[in-house]
Amino acid sequence: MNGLEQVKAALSAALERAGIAAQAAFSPGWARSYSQPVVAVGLRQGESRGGALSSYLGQRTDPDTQLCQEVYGMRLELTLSLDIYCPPGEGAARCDNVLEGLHQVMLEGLPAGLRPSELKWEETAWDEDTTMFLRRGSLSCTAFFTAAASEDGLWLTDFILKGVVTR
Amino acid sequence: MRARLEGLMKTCGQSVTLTRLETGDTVPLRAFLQPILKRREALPAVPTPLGAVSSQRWLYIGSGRQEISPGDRAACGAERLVVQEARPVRWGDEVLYYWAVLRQERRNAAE
Repeated sequence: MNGLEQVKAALSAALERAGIAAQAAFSPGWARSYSQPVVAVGLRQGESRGGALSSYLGQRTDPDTQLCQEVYGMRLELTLSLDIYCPPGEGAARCDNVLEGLHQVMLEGLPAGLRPSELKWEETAWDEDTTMFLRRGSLSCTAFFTAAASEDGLWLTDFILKGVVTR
Repeated sequence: MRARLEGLMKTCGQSVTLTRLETGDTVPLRAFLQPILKRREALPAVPTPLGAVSSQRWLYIGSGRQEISPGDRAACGAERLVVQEARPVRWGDEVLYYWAVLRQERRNAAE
């Protein structure tokens, strides 16, 4: 899973933990019918930022192998889309209820490697394509990743979003 | 007038099974049900963040005796459709026929 996918997956998982249905935006396949609100999590824009010293962070000991590894960091400045869709039977007001839940997740439910800086929301409108109410939202955040160099020091293994349990 | 129209539906219309949203009742009937071919060359699908959505619509003209409203479901052959918009069309005080626009039914997200 690449860095952007990790961010979207971590955000979706945080929403699901809070009881808010979420799915990755523009997933392949046909749209389903929803009886509850759902949040489409996608990427509006992003920038990759390198750190000083070629993003070198230092050394650590692998707890499994006890080998010393060199650790590198990566920082992404992202604006994620958090579009809330509500079925007509639920009414446009349900978008506001979900929005409150989203705010709560942004404040306390995100992994340590994902630091939100700004939340923006548009007014609720009727979306003709999906025949659902839609409130578009954007979350600006910084995502921090770490990666360890392989034993021979030539390759960096996959970058992992900080604060996400991967095993 | 209504009898003549219903006679035409019987001979030239399609077999439709209507399922009412409010009651869940299933009603077999004959009605004119055809896809609206506004732009034949255009791909009838729109990408949305929730997935692709069919933009194909069907026009329904059915008996004035059988009410039809938004949310009702209609099955015709392999097509599974849902009523998006519906209204009665009157001749004098009598409902001559029901006019409706239908779209493809989407699979439930819970499935």
